[in-house]
Amino acid sequence: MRNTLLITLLFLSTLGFSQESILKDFAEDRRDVKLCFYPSTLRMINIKNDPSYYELVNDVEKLLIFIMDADDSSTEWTNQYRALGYEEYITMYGKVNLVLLGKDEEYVGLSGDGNRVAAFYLRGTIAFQKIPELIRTFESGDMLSLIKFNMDQ
Amino acid sequence: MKKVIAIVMILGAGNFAFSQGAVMTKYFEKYSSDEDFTKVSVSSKMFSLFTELDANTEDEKEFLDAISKLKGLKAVVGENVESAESKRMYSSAVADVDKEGYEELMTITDAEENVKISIKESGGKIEELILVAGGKSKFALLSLYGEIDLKKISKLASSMRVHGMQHLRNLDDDNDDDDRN
Repeated sequence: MRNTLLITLLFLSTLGFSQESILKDFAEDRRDVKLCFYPSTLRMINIKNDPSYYELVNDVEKLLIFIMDADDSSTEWTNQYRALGYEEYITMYGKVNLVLLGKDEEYVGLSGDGNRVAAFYLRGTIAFQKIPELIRTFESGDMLSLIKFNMDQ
Repeated sequence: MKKVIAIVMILGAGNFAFSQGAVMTKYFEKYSSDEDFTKVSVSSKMFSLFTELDANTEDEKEFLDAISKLKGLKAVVGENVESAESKRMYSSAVADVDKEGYEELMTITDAEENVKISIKESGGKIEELILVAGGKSKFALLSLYGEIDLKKISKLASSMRVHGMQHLRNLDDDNDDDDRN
């Protein structure tokens, strides 16, 4: 009985790992920038202690961002997530590409143009209702933009 | 005999469901690999996220109410299209929409752009609104589906930055007395 439970737990943890690894496998060799955020590092960005930001990221367990040059295969990896049952929230293809897929409490997506693309994996939940407030905070420069900082390197 | 009727009914329903999105599907496939045409697809999952927002004003409340009943939005937008090509595409798309049995709701013709807005109703409710726009250098085909309230849809037009959506603002003025919903 104990063995069955152990095997089940191992199987479930492998599933969780493999879903994150689809993006990792695609992006690791191509990316210029890799950002990995956990709850503690997500809170560090909030230099002005904006409460809306805390509410937004409070339930985010992990956020991975890869930034790389775009090519014809930049969006192909998302099909592997679709095959796993990730549902489309929004897609945009053309000169600008944007994809957001989600399943349970996992989200993957990308945003970019013909030259550069940022792909992400997020585990947890986002307080979507706080996003408009957060955008205003970012625009006012009250938030440390690690992405911009890394892109400028 | 009953089995045959049931099969025919199921096949008929299948064809009807397919024809609802046939125009949009055709244009999505046609321009799928053409980067000059932007293909946008927003699902009901995305719209459902908006329902979590808190409405502070009456306008925001109407916007959220309208958006919560939508099941999806699809658009094909071409920019920097040659004028003659844009006019040809507009005529072709309008013919495709008419052929699928959509009912004309509004047509706008001016020096800059031709726009035609059509709807498909079921049970007295608008379940799809399709907009075709063709101008000097732009082409747009946009479909909104779900439960559509014309009086509230203009609120969406003001909030979404998709080419062609701005024309839906006209529906607010022209349908004040419309009791479709």
